[in-house]
Amino acid sequence: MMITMKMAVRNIARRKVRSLITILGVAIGISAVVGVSSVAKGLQHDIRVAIGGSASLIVKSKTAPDPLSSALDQSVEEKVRRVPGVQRTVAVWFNNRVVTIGNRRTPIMIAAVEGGQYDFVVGSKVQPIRGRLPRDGEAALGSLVWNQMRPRVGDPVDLSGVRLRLAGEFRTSSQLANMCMITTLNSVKPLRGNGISCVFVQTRDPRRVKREIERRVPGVEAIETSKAVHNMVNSLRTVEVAGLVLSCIAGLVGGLGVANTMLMSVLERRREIGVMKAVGATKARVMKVFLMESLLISLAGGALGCLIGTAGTYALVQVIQKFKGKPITVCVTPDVILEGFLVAAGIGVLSGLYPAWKAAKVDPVKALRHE
Amino acid sequence: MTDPVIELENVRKVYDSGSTRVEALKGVNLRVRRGEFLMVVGPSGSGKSTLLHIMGALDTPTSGRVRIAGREISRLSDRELARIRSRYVGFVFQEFNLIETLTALENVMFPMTLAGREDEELAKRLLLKVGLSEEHFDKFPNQLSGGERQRVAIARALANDPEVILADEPTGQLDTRNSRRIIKVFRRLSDEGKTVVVVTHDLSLIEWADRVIVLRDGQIVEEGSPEEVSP
Ligand SMILES: Nc1ncnc2c1ncn2[C@@H]1O[C@H](COP(=O)(O)OP(=O)(O)OP(=O)(O)O)[C@@H](O)[C@H]1O
Ligand SMILES: [Mg+2]
Repeated sequence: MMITMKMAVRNIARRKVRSLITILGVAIGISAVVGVSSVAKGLQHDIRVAIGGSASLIVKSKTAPDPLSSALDQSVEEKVRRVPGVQRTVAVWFNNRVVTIGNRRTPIMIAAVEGGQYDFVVGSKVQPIRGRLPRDGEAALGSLVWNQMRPRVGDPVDLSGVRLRLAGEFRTSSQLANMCMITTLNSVKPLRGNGISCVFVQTRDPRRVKREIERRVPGVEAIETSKAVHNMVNSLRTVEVAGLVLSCIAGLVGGLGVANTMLMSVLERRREIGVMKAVGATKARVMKVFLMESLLISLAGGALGCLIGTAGTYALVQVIQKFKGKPITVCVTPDVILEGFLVAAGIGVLSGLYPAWKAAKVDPVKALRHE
Repeated sequence: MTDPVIELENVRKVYDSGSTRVEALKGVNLRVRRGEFLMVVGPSGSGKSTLLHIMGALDTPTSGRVRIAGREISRLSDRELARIRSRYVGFVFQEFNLIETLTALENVMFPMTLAGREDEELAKRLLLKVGLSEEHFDKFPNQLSGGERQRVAIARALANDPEVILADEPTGQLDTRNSRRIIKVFRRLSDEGKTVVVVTHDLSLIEWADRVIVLRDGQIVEEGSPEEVSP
């Protein structure tokens, strides 16, 4: 075993230029695989963060056309929470109502969020730009309504007899939310009684949990939220498919290089093959010798490809960030590297098979005849 | 000790490459006795190499029977034929045919690897036995002289302690002095009990053999002791 290994290494080392070109061919392919995989992994990571940080399902009354006009009893939340796969629930009460602040009166959409978990419901960061986010007994205005009403922090807010304190102004990336007033679910208890509008749900598996909720809780419909997550999942698919196609092409090109090199090697070493057979090598053994060599070339290409792929991906990300100013997540995880090596090993074995079989078929008598 | 090591019965070998048809062996009957030093002589193209290859299970006859170590080789699989070449016979060639990427010592160890029993000490002892000095053990074939290479090749043929050494023109690329040295190595191996078959067209070497066979046009035309065969 040691000796056949030495033979393989020395044969590769002996034809330096040819081996190097072949190894580079594989390396370029593998670096593409590693690059695409780590970008896909980064996207996956982003999506996981996005899904983890906001709701992925909204449970509303089956009869209501949308969550804003839905009406449910608050006991529904408890039932939803017990559905397997549900990680977190937040009840929300939406109500459109005339609000009085100081001497100004205007109808505003109120979003009363359980426990003040505003980020979760809005799906992006709710940023206080004046004062703070409302606690029980408080309310805050979105930047658009704030500009319209021009109140002061601490002003009393009157909602049909319920009095709250104005805690501040906020802004989010959603313009719709910027036109709302937010408060906690407890703050509006006298107005809503036991009623809520809908329940925001966090889960890793929206499809399945949606069906589960609709099966177990009567009279509700669960809708999948965040378009953003959908878009991200779609772009992930695109990247994954592109990655797969790219890997196949890269693998094919690298593999053809290895096959060509190995075929040349078999032709040049016919006499050596004859000798191996004369001293007792079986066909299987001859195949192994050549497969070992193509595997070594490919794995060397794999190692180099992982290096180039990792370095190249980080370098590219730096450049893109500089121009677009938008951070891109890439994850060069151990399994990305492992994938690179596996593809390389696959290339080595597959492209080595035909040359190795050719080698095994060499007629020792013809190979050993002196010309 | 009486049963033959290799036995050929009416062996014919035809090379048929479409347009040309060469009958390299035309019915050869031959028994190689255990422990003898047999030499096969004959002009170029008389079928010597073909005969040797068939004797070592490297080639198969077109018709006729070949028994090696008491086994009829036409019934054997690739694995079993390889096993015979690995354990029962040892080949030595005119062009030395060493593996260029292996050192002298590694070349001797290679058949051991194939047989699954590497023994570096034994390989070194074999090299010393055929007269290669230790300073050459780690050299590659292209760093060795012809005579040295042929010594390595003989040591390699001995690696798995075979019953028979089959040598095809082992002195063909050596000068007279080196030829004599190499043939003496074969003689000594024979004296130690190995069966040795040497193919040559150098008639000055036949005095070293126990028995000589003269091959012409694929047929044995003469057979006997060196004295009997000598012109
Ligand atoms: N693979 C082959 N295809 C066609 N003809 C062959 C083949 N091998 C050998 N021959 C022919 O068979 C005959 C015997 O060849 P062989 O090599 O056995 O002779 P030889 O006695 O060893 O000759 P030399 O002394 O030149 O080595 C020759 O005529 C040769 O051309
Ligand atoms: Mg010959």
